Amino acid sequence: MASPRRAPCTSPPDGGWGWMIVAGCFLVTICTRAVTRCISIFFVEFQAYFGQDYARTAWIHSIVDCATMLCAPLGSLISNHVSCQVGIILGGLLASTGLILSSFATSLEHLYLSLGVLTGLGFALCYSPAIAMVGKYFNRRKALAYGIAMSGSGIGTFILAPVVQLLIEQFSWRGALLILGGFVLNLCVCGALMRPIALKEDRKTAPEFLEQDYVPEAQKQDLKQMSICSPLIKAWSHECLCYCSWKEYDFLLMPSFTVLAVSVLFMAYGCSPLFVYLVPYALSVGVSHHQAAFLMSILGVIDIVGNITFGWLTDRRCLKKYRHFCYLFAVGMDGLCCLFLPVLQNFPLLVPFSFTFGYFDGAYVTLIPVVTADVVGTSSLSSALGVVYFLHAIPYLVSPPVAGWLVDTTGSYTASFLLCGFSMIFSSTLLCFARLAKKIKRTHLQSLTNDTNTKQHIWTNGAIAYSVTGELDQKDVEFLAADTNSYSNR
Amino acid sequence: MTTEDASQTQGNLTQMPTRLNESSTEPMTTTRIVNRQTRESISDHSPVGHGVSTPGPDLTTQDFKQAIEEKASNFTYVEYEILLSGVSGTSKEKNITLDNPAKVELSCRLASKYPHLNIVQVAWKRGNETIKHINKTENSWSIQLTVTDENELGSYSCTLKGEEEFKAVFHLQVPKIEGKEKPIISYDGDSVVMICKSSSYTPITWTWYLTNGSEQIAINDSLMSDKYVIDRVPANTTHLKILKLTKKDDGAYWCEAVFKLGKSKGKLKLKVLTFMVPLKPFLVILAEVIILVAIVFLYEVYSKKKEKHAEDEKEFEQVEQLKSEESNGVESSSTRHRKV
Repeated sequence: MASPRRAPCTSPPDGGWGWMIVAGCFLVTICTRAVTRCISIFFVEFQAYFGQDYARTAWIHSIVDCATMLCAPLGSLISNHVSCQVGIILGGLLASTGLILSSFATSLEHLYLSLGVLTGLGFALCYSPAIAMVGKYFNRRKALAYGIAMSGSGIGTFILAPVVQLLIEQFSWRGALLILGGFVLNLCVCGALMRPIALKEDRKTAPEFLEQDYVPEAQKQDLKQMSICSPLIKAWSHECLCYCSWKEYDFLLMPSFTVLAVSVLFMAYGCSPLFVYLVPYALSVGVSHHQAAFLMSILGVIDIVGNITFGWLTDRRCLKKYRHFCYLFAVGMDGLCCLFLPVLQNFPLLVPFSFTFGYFDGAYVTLIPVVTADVVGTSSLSSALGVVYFLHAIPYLVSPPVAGWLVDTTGSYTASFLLCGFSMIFSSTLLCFARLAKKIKRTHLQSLTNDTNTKQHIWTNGAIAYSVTGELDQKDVEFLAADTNSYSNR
Repeated sequence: MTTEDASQTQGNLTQMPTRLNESSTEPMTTTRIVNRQTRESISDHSPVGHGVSTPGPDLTTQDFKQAIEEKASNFTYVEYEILLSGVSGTSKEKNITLDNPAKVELSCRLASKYPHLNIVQVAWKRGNETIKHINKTENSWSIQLTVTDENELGSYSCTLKGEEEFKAVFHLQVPKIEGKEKPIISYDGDSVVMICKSSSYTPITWTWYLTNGSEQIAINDSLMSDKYVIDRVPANTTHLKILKLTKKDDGAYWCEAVFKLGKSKGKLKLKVLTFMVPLKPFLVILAEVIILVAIVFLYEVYSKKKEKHAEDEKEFEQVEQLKSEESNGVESSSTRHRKV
């Protein structure tokens, strides 16, 4: 969808329609992440009806989670090239169709396809575009907006779990899946809310593109009025297409993004077995079923608190520059908690563990999109988020079975928890070193060129200084994000 | 099996070990006889008397113990005790679940802090029938039973009368099968699986019944194999699968577990719905989604129009302003001209 001709190049509004976007993203998170978690409530019913054991039924959950993360880049592709609204509405329709088709399932394989693949694909088309949209609408209060949006998964699970149980009791699993399919249709409403916004950053790339030689003269006039990489342009020249796809994914070669990607891999590897094995571990050290379930509830509720409070905290001016460090602090704390877990052998010790782990888990989940936006900038945020969530998929799939194998061979949970802890701490230290290296490089470069310093001194006059600091904030972010080599130099 | 002679039974008792390996029914007959023997001796002696045990029952008890040691593999031996304390007039109860034939010892004990209460009379009863007891220790009294079929199950009570009266009741029962309180929902033309579980006790077999009016009719799955499928493996769970459901299949179903000591039933309710039932909430949600999407899109179009209108007005004003400035400028220059 081409952006309107006279749409003003705005900076992120930080409010107004932005809050509707946050509400939309909140609902998207509920409909995708919370519904994925609630699918496991159906397993008992599937086991009884199809006569299969737990392992085969649990595959459904793995397939949904994996499909949602693996197809995340596809989601960002569609939302970039067509429109965010169309992408999310399409995702909502797909997911809803998947759930409705599953209500007519006659075998477990049927469920793998409809509930697993189709619904997972639908969720993938919605998840990363919605999150990217929030990033476009907020700058000053980005982390708070993300915190509220991401808390949807915790709050959604909390509310949806008993509701799904009630639906199963009233209508059996077929009726419950049908009604859940209807509920997921609300993703279309969220899609409608995601009004596109043309940011200054996106426009920046237009002039230099027009200066390229291989674009025919006659088309340049039209290009000035249309946005980059709209479908019409692609129809005209192949060079445009290559350039467009390259432009979208050029952040992949940025060293800071590569470091972020590797650290995300290790972090996802470390955090996923915890949720799977906390309850079995608690039961093995002698905690009762009731108390173990309580531990999981604490984890869920504190997750929500961590989402919102950490988001609000890192939006404070004093902490904003150190967002990266806040993120790696949260990941590091989670890793440390994991390392201590084998020592905690009774319920009173496991409760503070749940609190701490839950809080920092919520914290870093909120900061992933923020840190990604800091690294790649808002124009490529959608594609970058797609790649980041794609990198979550393989560790989520691989890590719990590996941890389970470790438990079986060593006979205790110590080895697997230590592995998780070290994985997360490694992820955090990797980022730390990368940032330190960049900082050293930057101070080195700044000492060579004093231009930027003198420019800042000029803007100290009263009235001007106030308006400029606002702009400087954004420029600071861009400066931090773009490395010393900005887009224009490429 | 009907030998009544005491001496003969004694002889039988001593021969018990050799007979063990023969058939499973042999030990049962022997124990039955022993039971009767104790009852006979009870009728010879008055139930009154505390602490003193007569030689007859004593011998039997000793034989019992021997028997238990020798044939522990066949029968389980269980002991249950109720501790009586505190308020007189109250009655304490205990439920004992038995699935296989067993030797049971039930005892009533008075808490040691009441030695001053002179217990004059101790009576063990089952219904109106009195059972001979033994005084196990100074303040506990017990009876020993061999439970081999459901006739021996029931409520056994001990009453201690003295200055105050204490009562305790033991209920011997077969394991209860849990049914489901909430109805199982399924749809027309679909199939449903109903499950009954017996947690720690393994029954010999399972039978399913459906309710027709006020009768319970057993379900024969071999006869109607295209409608009902019964699965009895593993032994402590059973699955009833009903295919091609119709409204007529609505109602109560019973799963019955057959144990050596009796039968036990669990109730399950089935409700058959048409597909219209969940379709209605789905259509309501669908309508809500369509309405909301329409509202959001209409609002977007409306606000875009408003923005465009506001921009047009702004441009118009700017143009007007420029025009007026121009005209002012011309006037001022002309006035200057005039002045000059």
